[in-house]
Amino acid sequence: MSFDPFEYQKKMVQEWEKNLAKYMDKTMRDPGFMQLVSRNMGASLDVQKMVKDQMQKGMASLSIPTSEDLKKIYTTLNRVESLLLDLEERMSDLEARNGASRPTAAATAATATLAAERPAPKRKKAASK
Amino acid sequence: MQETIDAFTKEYGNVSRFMEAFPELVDLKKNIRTRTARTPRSVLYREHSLTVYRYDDARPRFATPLLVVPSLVNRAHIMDMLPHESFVSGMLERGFAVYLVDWGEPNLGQEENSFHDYVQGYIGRAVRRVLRDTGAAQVLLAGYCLGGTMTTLHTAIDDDERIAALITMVTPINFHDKGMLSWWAKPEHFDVDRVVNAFGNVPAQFFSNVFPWLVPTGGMKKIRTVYENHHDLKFMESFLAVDDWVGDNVPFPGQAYREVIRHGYQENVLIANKSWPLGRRTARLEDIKVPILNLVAKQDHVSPCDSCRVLGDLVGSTDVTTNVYETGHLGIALGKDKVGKHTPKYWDDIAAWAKERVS
Repeated sequence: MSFDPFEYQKKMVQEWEKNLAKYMDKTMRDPGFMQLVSRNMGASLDVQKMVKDQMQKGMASLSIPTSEDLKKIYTTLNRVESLLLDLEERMSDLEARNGASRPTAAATAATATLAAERPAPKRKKAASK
Repeated sequence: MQETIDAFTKEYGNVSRFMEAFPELVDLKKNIRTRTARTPRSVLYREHSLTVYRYDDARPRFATPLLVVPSLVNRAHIMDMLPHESFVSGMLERGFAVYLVDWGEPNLGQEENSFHDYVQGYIGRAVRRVLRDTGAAQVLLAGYCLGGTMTTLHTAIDDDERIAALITMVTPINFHDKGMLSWWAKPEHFDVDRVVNAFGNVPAQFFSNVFPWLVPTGGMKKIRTVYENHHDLKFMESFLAVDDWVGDNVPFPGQAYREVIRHGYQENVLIANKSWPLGRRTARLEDIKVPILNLVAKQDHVSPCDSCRVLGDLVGSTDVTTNVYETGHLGIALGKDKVGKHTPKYWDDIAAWAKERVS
Protein backbone atom coordinates (compact mmCIF):
# COMPACT_ATOMS: atom_id res chain seq x y z
CA MET A 1 0.00 0.00 0.00
CA SER A 2 1.57 3.31 -1.08
CA PHE A 3 1.36 6.28 1.20
CA ASP A 4 2.83 9.67 0.49
CA PRO A 5 2.59 11.54 3.80
CA PHE A 6 3.41 14.88 2.15
CA GLU A 7 0.68 14.60 -0.47
CA TYR A 8 -1.67 13.61 2.35
CA GLN A 9 -0.53 16.62 4.41
CA LYS A 10 -0.96 18.90 1.38
CA LYS A 11 -4.54 17.65 0.89
CA MET A 12 -5.27 18.04 4.60
CA VAL A 13 -3.95 21.60 4.61
CA GLN A 14 -5.97 22.48 1.50
CA GLU A 15 -9.13 21.05 3.09
CA TRP A 16 -8.41 22.92 6.30
CA GLU A 17 -7.87 26.18 4.40
CA LYS A 18 -11.12 25.69 2.50
CA ASN A 19 -13.07 25.04 5.67
CA LEU A 20 -11.37 27.88 7.52
CA ALA A 21 -12.23 30.25 4.65
CA LYS A 22 -15.87 29.11 4.79
CA TYR A 23 -15.97 29.55 8.56
CA MET A 24 -14.41 33.01 8.44
CA ASP A 25 -16.74 34.08 5.66
CA LYS A 26 -19.71 32.89 7.73
CA THR A 27 -18.39 34.65 10.83
CA MET A 28 -17.75 37.92 9.05
CA ARG A 29 -21.25 37.86 7.59
CA ASP A 30 -22.79 37.45 11.03
CA PRO A 31 -24.53 40.72 12.02
CA GLY A 32 -23.53 40.26 15.66
CA PHE A 33 -19.86 39.94 14.73
CA MET A 34 -20.04 43.00 12.48
CA GLN A 35 -21.68 44.99 15.28
CA LEU A 36 -18.82 44.08 17.60
CA VAL A 37 -16.20 45.03 15.00
CA SER A 38 -18.05 48.24 14.22
CA ARG A 39 -18.26 49.22 17.91
CA ASN A 40 -14.56 48.50 18.47
CA MET A 41 -13.54 50.40 15.36
CA GLY A 42 -15.77 53.31 16.36
CA ALA A 43 -14.20 53.46 19.81
CA SER A 44 -10.66 53.35 18.33
CA LEU A 45 -11.55 56.09 15.87
CA ASP A 46 -12.97 58.27 18.65
CA VAL A 47 -9.73 57.82 20.62
CA GLN A 48 -7.75 58.62 17.48
CA LYS A 49 -9.74 61.83 16.97
CA MET A 50 -9.36 62.79 20.59
CA VAL A 51 -5.60 62.31 20.49
CA LYS A 52 -5.41 64.28 17.24
CA ASP A 53 -7.44 67.15 18.70
CA GLN A 54 -5.41 67.23 21.90
CA MET A 55 -2.16 67.22 19.91
CA GLN A 56 -3.43 70.11 17.81
CA LYS A 57 -4.31 72.09 20.95
CA GLY A 58 -1.00 71.26 22.60
CA MET A 59 1.05 72.23 19.58
CA ALA A 60 -0.98 75.40 19.04
CA SER A 61 -0.33 76.44 22.65
CA LEU A 62 3.40 75.99 22.01
CA SER A 63 3.12 77.99 18.76
CA ILE A 64 4.21 74.95 16.76
CA PRO A 65 2.54 74.57 13.36
CA THR A 66 -0.11 71.88 13.48
CA SER A 67 -1.24 69.56 10.70
CA GLU A 68 -4.26 71.83 10.26
CA ASP A 69 -1.89 74.74 9.59
CA LEU A 70 0.03 72.62 7.10
CA LYS A 71 -3.25 71.58 5.53
CA LYS A 72 -4.15 75.23 4.93
CA ILE A 73 -0.77 75.87 3.32
CA TYR A 74 -1.06 72.78 1.13
CA THR A 75 -4.61 73.71 0.12
CA THR A 76 -3.46 77.17 -0.94
CA LEU A 77 -0.49 75.76 -2.82
CA ASN A 78 -2.73 73.26 -4.58
CA ARG A 79 -5.12 76.03 -5.57
CA VAL A 80 -2.26 78.14 -6.94
CA GLU A 81 -0.88 75.17 -8.88
CA SER A 82 -4.28 74.49 -10.43
CA LEU A 83 -4.70 78.17 -11.33
CA LEU A 84 -1.31 78.19 -13.03
CA LEU A 85 -2.23 75.11 -15.02
CA ASP A 86 -5.53 76.76 -16.00
CA LEU A 87 -3.68 79.88 -17.11
CA GLU A 88 -1.22 77.78 -19.08
CA GLU A 89 -4.12 76.14 -20.90
CA ARG A 90 -5.80 79.45 -21.65
CA MET A 91 -2.57 80.93 -23.00
CA SER A 92 -2.07 77.85 -25.11
CA ASP A 93 -5.62 78.24 -26.49
CA LEU A 94 -5.01 81.92 -27.22
CA GLU A 95 -1.74 81.15 -29.00
CA ALA A 96 -3.49 78.51 -31.06
CA ARG A 97 -6.23 80.98 -32.03
CA ASN A 98 -3.71 83.74 -32.84
CA GLY A 99 -1.63 81.29 -34.79
CA ALA A 100 -4.69 80.36 -36.93
CA SER A 101 -5.16 83.99 -38.11
CA ARG A 102 -1.55 84.26 -39.29
CA PRO A 103 -0.09 82.20 -42.17
CA THR A 104 1.15 78.93 -40.87
CA ALA A 105 4.78 77.90 -41.19
CA ALA A 106 3.75 75.29 -43.74
CA ALA A 107 1.88 77.87 -45.82
CA THR A 108 4.88 80.21 -45.74
CA ALA A 109 7.20 77.40 -46.83
CA ALA A 110 4.83 76.45 -49.68
CA THR A 111 4.73 80.05 -50.84
CA ALA A 112 8.53 80.21 -50.81
CA THR A 113 8.72 77.04 -52.93
CA LEU A 114 6.22 78.37 -55.45
CA ALA A 115 8.22 81.62 -55.65
CA ALA A 116 11.40 79.64 -56.32
CA GLU A 117 9.74 77.69 -59.12
CA ARG A 118 8.33 80.79 -60.87
CA PRO A 119 10.63 82.08 -63.66
CA ALA A 120 12.45 85.23 -62.64
CA PRO A 121 10.79 88.32 -64.12
CA LYS A 122 12.83 89.91 -66.91
CA ARG A 123 14.52 93.06 -65.72
CA LYS A 124 13.61 96.11 -67.70
CA LYS A 125 16.61 97.78 -69.10
CA ALA A 126 17.19 101.05 -67.42
CA ALA A 127 16.22 103.83 -69.76
CA SER A 128 19.39 105.48 -71.07
CA LYS A 129 19.60 109.03 -70.28
CA MET B 1 6.96 1.34 2.46
CA GLN B 2 9.32 2.10 -0.42
CA GLU B 3 6.91 4.75 -1.74
CA THR B 4 6.85 6.40 1.69
CA ILE B 5 10.64 6.44 1.80
CA ASP B 6 10.70 7.88 -1.74
CA ALA B 7 8.19 10.53 -0.68
CA PHE B 8 10.43 11.55 2.25
CA THR B 9 13.46 11.64 -0.02
CA LYS B 10 11.64 13.74 -2.58
CA GLU B 11 10.37 16.18 0.04
CA TYR B 12 13.83 16.43 1.61
CA GLY B 13 15.11 17.37 -1.83
CA ASN B 14 12.37 19.98 -2.21
CA VAL B 15 13.20 21.52 1.15
CA SER B 16 16.93 21.58 0.34
CA ARG B 17 16.29 23.26 -3.00
CA PHE B 18 14.00 25.75 -1.32
CA MET B 19 16.66 26.62 1.25
CA GLU B 20 19.21 27.08 -1.54
CA ALA B 21 16.85 29.30 -3.52
CA PHE B 22 15.75 31.30 -0.46
CA PRO B 23 18.49 33.98 -0.54
CA GLU B 24 17.78 34.60 -4.24
CA LEU B 25 14.07 34.92 -3.48
CA VAL B 26 14.77 37.38 -0.68
CA ASP B 27 16.95 39.39 -3.06
CA LEU B 28 14.23 39.29 -5.71
CA LYS B 29 11.66 40.49 -3.19
CA LYS B 30 13.94 43.34 -2.05
CA ASN B 31 14.55 44.54 -5.62
CA ILE B 32 11.16 43.82 -7.14
CA ARG B 33 10.33 47.53 -7.51
CA THR B 34 13.27 47.98 -9.87
CA ARG B 35 11.56 45.52 -12.23
CA THR B 36 8.08 47.10 -12.33
CA ALA B 37 6.84 50.04 -14.42
CA ARG B 38 9.71 49.68 -16.93
CA THR B 39 7.91 50.72 -20.14
CA PRO B 40 9.67 53.92 -21.35
CA ARG B 41 7.66 57.00 -20.48
CA SER B 42 7.89 60.72 -19.90
CA VAL B 43 5.89 63.11 -17.73
CA LEU B 44 3.18 64.98 -19.62
CA TYR B 45 2.36 67.16 -16.63
CA ARG B 46 1.84 67.11 -12.86
CA GLU B 47 -0.93 68.52 -10.71
CA HIS B 48 -0.82 68.12 -6.91
CA SER B 49 -0.13 64.42 -6.31
CA LEU B 50 -1.19 63.40 -9.80
CA THR B 51 1.19 62.70 -12.66
CA VAL B 52 0.09 61.93 -16.20
CA TYR B 53 2.60 59.86 -18.12
CA ARG B 54 3.05 59.71 -21.85
CA TYR B 55 4.35 56.36 -23.07
CA ASP B 56 7.07 56.95 -25.60
CA ASP B 57 6.59 54.78 -28.62
CA ALA B 58 7.00 55.55 -32.31
CA ARG B 59 4.40 53.07 -33.41
CA PRO B 60 0.91 54.54 -32.86
CA ARG B 61 -1.68 53.49 -35.38
CA PHE B 62 -4.82 54.94 -33.89
CA ALA B 63 -5.06 58.72 -34.11
CA THR B 64 -7.28 58.63 -31.02
CA PRO B 65 -5.04 58.37 -27.95
CA LEU B 66 -5.82 56.01 -25.08
CA LEU B 67 -5.96 57.58 -21.61
CA VAL B 68 -5.88 54.99 -18.83
CA VAL B 69 -7.26 55.86 -15.38
CA PRO B 70 -6.56 53.39 -12.56
CA SER B 71 -8.25 53.25 -9.18
CA LEU B 72 -7.47 55.65 -6.32
CA VAL B 73 -6.71 52.56 -4.23
CA ASN B 74 -3.15 51.23 -4.62
CA ARG B 75 -0.60 52.37 -7.12
CA ALA B 76 -0.93 52.96 -10.84
CA HIS B 77 1.83 50.61 -11.92
CA ILE B 78 -0.69 47.75 -11.86
CA MET B 79 -1.26 48.87 -15.45
CA ASP B 80 2.47 48.44 -16.22
CA MET B 81 3.57 45.74 -13.82
CA LEU B 82 6.22 43.72 -15.63
CA PRO B 83 7.37 43.78 -19.27
CA HIS B 84 5.32 40.69 -20.12
CA GLU B 85 2.42 41.60 -17.80
CA SER B 86 1.73 45.19 -18.77
CA PHE B 87 -1.59 46.55 -19.99
CA VAL B 88 0.24 49.68 -21.15
CA SER B 89 2.79 47.70 -23.12
CA GLY B 90 0.06 45.49 -24.56
CA MET B 91 -1.85 48.50 -25.81
CA LEU B 92 1.32 50.09 -27.26
CA GLU B 93 2.00 46.88 -29.19
CA ARG B 94 -1.52 47.01 -30.56
CA GLY B 95 -1.07 50.49 -31.97
CA PHE B 96 -2.40 52.85 -29.31
CA ALA B 97 -0.75 56.06 -28.14
CA VAL B 98 -1.01 55.45 -24.38
CA TYR B 99 -1.23 57.91 -21.50
CA LEU B 100 -1.58 56.89 -17.85
CA VAL B 101 -2.93 58.80 -14.86
CA ASP B 102 -0.90 58.12 -11.72
CA TRP B 103 -2.86 59.45 -8.73
CA GLY B 104 0.18 59.36 -6.45
CA GLU B 105 -0.23 59.89 -2.70
CA PRO B 106 -2.66 62.68 -1.80
CA ASN B 107 -1.17 65.54 0.21
CA LEU B 108 -2.83 67.27 3.15
CA GLY B 109 -4.31 69.88 0.81
CA GLN B 110 -6.27 67.19 -1.03
CA GLU B 111 -8.14 66.05 2.07
CA GLU B 112 -11.15 68.19 1.16
CA ASN B 113 -11.07 67.23 -2.53
CA SER B 114 -14.47 65.88 -3.47
CA PHE B 115 -15.10 63.00 -5.83
CA HIS B 116 -16.19 65.66 -8.28
CA ASP B 117 -12.70 67.19 -8.19
CA TYR B 118 -11.35 63.86 -9.37
CA VAL B 119 -14.05 63.04 -11.92
CA GLN B 120 -14.32 66.48 -13.51
CA GLY B 121 -11.23 68.36 -12.39
CA TYR B 122 -8.30 65.99 -12.60
CA ILE B 123 -9.62 63.67 -15.31
CA GLY B 124 -10.95 66.64 -17.28
CA ARG B 125 -7.55 68.30 -17.34
CA ALA B 126 -5.84 65.01 -18.22
CA VAL B 127 -8.16 64.63 -21.21
CA ARG B 128 -7.53 68.21 -22.39
CA ARG B 129 -3.76 67.86 -21.98
CA VAL B 130 -3.67 64.58 -23.89
CA LEU B 131 -5.67 66.13 -26.72
CA ARG B 132 -3.31 69.10 -26.83
CA ASP B 133 -0.29 66.78 -26.81
CA THR B 134 -1.57 64.61 -29.63
CA GLY B 135 -3.56 67.13 -31.66
CA ALA B 136 -6.48 64.69 -31.58
CA ALA B 137 -10.10 65.78 -31.23
CA GLN B 138 -11.12 62.99 -28.86
CA VAL B 139 -9.64 60.39 -26.52
CA LEU B 140 -10.41 56.77 -25.91
CA LEU B 141 -10.95 56.73 -22.14
CA ALA B 142 -10.23 53.56 -20.17
CA GLY B 143 -10.78 53.05 -16.44
CA TYR B 144 -9.81 50.21 -14.11
CA CYS B 145 -11.88 49.33 -11.05
CA LEU B 146 -12.83 52.60 -9.26
CA GLY B 147 -11.01 54.36 -12.10
CA GLY B 148 -13.68 52.87 -14.36
CA THR B 149 -16.42 54.31 -12.16
CA MET B 150 -14.73 57.72 -12.38
CA THR B 151 -14.29 57.55 -16.14
CA THR B 152 -17.92 56.45 -16.53
CA LEU B 153 -19.08 59.48 -14.56
CA HIS B 154 -16.71 61.76 -16.46
CA THR B 155 -18.12 60.50 -19.76
CA ALA B 156 -21.64 61.22 -18.47
CA ILE B 157 -20.73 64.90 -17.94
CA ASP B 158 -18.60 65.23 -21.08
CA ASP B 159 -20.43 68.24 -22.52
CA ASP B 160 -17.58 69.05 -24.91
CA GLU B 161 -17.67 65.54 -26.45
CA ARG B 162 -13.99 64.91 -25.91
CA ILE B 163 -14.55 61.20 -25.23
CA ALA B 164 -14.77 59.06 -28.36
CA ALA B 165 -15.46 55.80 -26.53
CA LEU B 166 -15.24 54.32 -23.06
CA ILE B 167 -13.53 51.15 -21.87
CA THR B 168 -14.39 49.99 -18.36
CA MET B 169 -12.47 47.16 -16.72
CA VAL B 170 -13.69 45.37 -13.57
CA THR B 171 -15.66 48.52 -12.81
CA PRO B 172 -18.12 48.41 -9.89
CA ILE B 173 -21.46 49.96 -10.77
CA ASN B 174 -23.87 48.08 -8.51
CA PHE B 175 -22.22 48.41 -5.12
CA HIS B 176 -24.85 46.30 -3.36
CA ASP B 177 -23.57 42.88 -4.27
CA LYS B 178 -22.73 39.64 -2.48
CA GLY B 179 -19.09 40.68 -2.03
CA MET B 180 -17.56 41.26 1.38
CA LEU B 181 -16.76 44.94 0.73
CA SER B 182 -20.42 45.67 0.14
CA TRP B 183 -21.32 43.95 3.43
CA TRP B 184 -18.65 45.71 5.45
CA ALA B 185 -19.56 49.14 4.08
CA LYS B 186 -23.24 48.99 5.08
CA PRO B 187 -24.20 52.08 7.10
CA GLU B 188 -25.03 49.98 10.18
CA HIS B 189 -21.51 48.47 10.11
CA PHE B 190 -19.36 51.35 8.90
CA ASP B 191 -19.53 54.99 9.96
CA VAL B 192 -17.50 56.64 7.22
CA ASP B 193 -17.78 60.09 8.82
CA ARG B 194 -16.04 58.82 11.93
CA VAL B 195 -13.19 57.40 9.83
CA VAL B 196 -12.66 60.56 7.79
CA ASN B 197 -13.05 62.88 10.81
CA ALA B 198 -10.42 60.86 12.68
CA PHE B 199 -7.88 60.57 9.87
CA GLY B 200 -8.54 63.14 7.17
CA ASN B 201 -6.95 61.32 4.24
CA VAL B 202 -7.66 57.67 5.03
CA PRO B 203 -4.20 56.20 5.73
CA ALA B 204 -2.65 53.40 3.71
CA GLN B 205 -2.48 51.22 6.84
CA PHE B 206 -6.26 51.25 7.03
CA PHE B 207 -6.47 49.47 3.67
CA SER B 208 -3.52 47.18 4.27
CA ASN B 209 -5.23 45.98 7.47
CA VAL B 210 -8.67 45.57 5.88
CA PHE B 211 -8.13 44.19 2.37
CA PRO B 212 -6.39 40.94 3.41
CA TRP B 213 -9.63 39.95 5.14
CA LEU B 214 -11.33 39.72 1.75
CA VAL B 215 -9.42 36.44 1.38
CA PRO B 216 -8.79 35.39 5.01
CA THR B 217 -6.63 32.38 4.11
CA GLY B 218 -4.60 34.37 1.60
CA GLY B 219 -1.57 34.60 3.87
CA MET B 220 -1.30 30.84 4.28
CA LYS B 221 -1.87 30.27 0.59
CA LYS B 222 0.97 32.72 -0.13
CA ILE B 223 3.47 30.68 1.88
CA ARG B 224 2.42 27.50 0.14
CA THR B 225 2.61 29.15 -3.29
CA VAL B 226 6.16 30.37 -2.66
CA TYR B 227 7.28 26.93 -1.44
CA GLU B 228 5.73 25.10 -4.39
CA ASN B 229 6.98 27.49 -7.06
CA HIS B 230 10.33 28.70 -5.74
CA HIS B 231 12.17 26.99 -8.61
CA ASP B 232 10.28 28.98 -11.26
CA LEU B 233 11.90 32.41 -11.12
CA LYS B 234 9.61 33.91 -13.76
CA PHE B 235 6.58 32.86 -11.73
CA MET B 236 8.19 34.18 -8.53
CA GLU B 237 8.98 37.53 -10.15
CA SER B 238 5.34 37.90 -11.17
CA PHE B 239 4.04 36.66 -7.82
CA LEU B 240 6.29 38.94 -5.77
CA ALA B 241 5.52 41.95 -7.99
CA VAL B 242 1.78 41.52 -7.43
CA ASP B 243 2.29 40.78 -3.73
CA ASP B 244 4.34 43.96 -3.37
CA TRP B 245 1.68 45.99 -5.17
CA VAL B 246 -1.14 44.54 -3.04
CA GLY B 247 0.67 45.51 0.15
CA ASP B 248 1.75 48.92 -1.13
CA ASN B 249 -1.45 50.82 -0.38
CA VAL B 250 -1.73 54.58 -0.64
CA PRO B 251 -3.83 57.02 1.41
CA PHE B 252 -7.28 57.77 0.03
CA PRO B 253 -8.32 61.44 -0.10
CA GLY B 254 -10.74 61.98 2.79
CA GLN B 255 -13.76 63.75 1.30
CA ALA B 256 -13.62 61.64 -1.88
CA TYR B 257 -13.55 58.50 0.29
CA ARG B 258 -16.59 59.74 2.22
CA GLU B 259 -18.48 60.23 -1.05
CA VAL B 260 -17.48 56.91 -2.59
CA ILE B 261 -18.60 55.00 0.51
CA ARG B 262 -21.79 57.02 1.01
CA HIS B 263 -23.02 57.40 -2.58
CA GLY B 264 -21.53 54.14 -3.83
CA TYR B 265 -21.45 51.43 -1.20
CA GLN B 266 -24.21 52.72 1.06
CA GLU B 267 -26.75 54.52 -1.13
CA ASN B 268 -25.85 52.67 -4.36
CA VAL B 269 -26.93 55.73 -6.33
CA LEU B 270 -26.00 54.39 -9.75
CA ILE B 271 -28.65 51.70 -9.37
CA ALA B 272 -31.15 53.64 -7.24
CA ASN B 273 -31.06 56.87 -9.29
CA LYS B 274 -28.96 55.91 -12.34
CA SER B 275 -26.91 58.96 -11.48
CA TRP B 276 -24.22 60.22 -9.11
CA PRO B 277 -24.21 63.68 -7.46
CA LEU B 278 -21.07 65.61 -8.40
CA GLY B 279 -21.03 68.96 -6.70
CA ARG B 280 -23.57 71.23 -8.30
CA ARG B 281 -24.38 68.82 -11.10
CA THR B 282 -25.43 65.23 -11.46
CA ALA B 283 -23.82 62.65 -13.69
CA ARG B 284 -26.60 60.65 -15.33
CA LEU B 285 -25.73 57.32 -16.88
CA GLU B 286 -28.40 57.80 -19.55
CA ASP B 287 -26.36 60.76 -20.86
CA ILE B 288 -23.59 58.39 -21.93
CA LYS B 289 -24.09 57.88 -25.65
CA VAL B 290 -20.58 56.86 -26.74
CA PRO B 291 -19.61 53.26 -27.49
CA ILE B 292 -18.69 51.30 -24.36
CA LEU B 293 -16.60 48.17 -23.92
CA ASN B 294 -17.19 46.69 -20.47
CA LEU B 295 -14.67 44.03 -19.42
CA VAL B 296 -15.75 41.94 -16.46
CA ALA B 297 -13.89 39.24 -14.50
CA LYS B 298 -15.92 36.22 -13.45
CA GLN B 299 -13.73 35.32 -10.44
CA ASP B 300 -13.44 38.89 -9.14
CA HIS B 301 -13.79 39.08 -5.36
CA VAL B 302 -13.26 42.88 -5.21
CA SER B 303 -15.68 44.05 -7.94
CA PRO B 304 -17.97 41.03 -8.30
CA CYS B 305 -19.02 40.08 -11.81
CA ASP B 306 -22.69 40.98 -11.31
CA SER B 307 -21.71 44.36 -9.89
CA CYS B 308 -19.87 45.26 -13.08
CA ARG B 309 -22.05 43.66 -15.70
CA VAL B 310 -25.05 45.95 -15.18
CA LEU B 311 -23.45 49.01 -16.78
CA GLY B 312 -24.86 48.18 -20.20
CA ASP B 313 -28.42 48.22 -18.85
CA LEU B 314 -28.11 51.71 -17.41
CA VAL B 315 -26.38 53.85 -20.02
CA GLY B 316 -27.98 55.70 -22.92
CA SER B 317 -25.52 54.26 -25.43
CA THR B 318 -26.88 51.71 -27.90
CA ASP B 319 -23.39 50.36 -28.57
CA VAL B 320 -22.38 48.49 -25.41
CA THR B 321 -20.26 45.36 -25.51
CA THR B 322 -19.87 43.38 -22.30
CA ASN B 323 -17.18 40.70 -22.21
CA VAL B 324 -16.98 38.35 -19.23
CA TYR B 325 -13.65 36.61 -18.78
CA GLU B 326 -12.53 33.68 -16.67
CA THR B 327 -10.12 35.65 -14.56
CA GLY B 328 -9.77 37.54 -11.29
CA HIS B 329 -9.68 41.20 -10.35
CA LEU B 330 -6.16 41.81 -11.68
CA GLY B 331 -6.32 39.45 -14.63
CA ILE B 332 -7.22 41.99 -17.29
CA ALA B 333 -4.46 44.39 -16.21
CA LEU B 334 -1.85 41.63 -16.13
CA GLY B 335 -3.11 39.62 -19.10
CA LYS B 336 -3.61 36.45 -17.04
CA ASP B 337 -6.49 34.04 -16.74
CA LYS B 338 -7.90 32.50 -13.53
CA VAL B 339 -5.10 29.93 -13.29
CA GLY B 340 -2.40 32.53 -13.87
CA LYS B 341 -1.67 31.63 -17.48
CA HIS B 342 -0.80 34.53 -19.77
CA THR B 343 -3.37 35.29 -22.42
CA PRO B 344 -3.43 38.07 -25.03
CA LYS B 345 -7.21 37.68 -25.42
CA TYR B 346 -8.35 40.65 -23.33
CA TRP B 347 -6.02 43.13 -25.02
CA ASP B 348 -6.73 41.68 -28.48
CA ASP B 349 -10.45 42.14 -27.83
CA ILE B 350 -9.91 45.77 -26.83
CA ALA B 351 -7.89 46.48 -29.97
CA ALA B 352 -10.41 44.74 -32.24
CA TRP B 353 -13.31 46.60 -30.64
CA ALA B 354 -11.54 49.98 -30.79
CA LYS B 355 -10.51 49.47 -34.44
CA GLU B 356 -14.18 49.38 -35.44
CA ARG B 357 -15.07 52.53 -33.56
CA VAL B 358 -12.22 55.02 -33.45
CA SER B 359 -9.74 56.15 -36.04
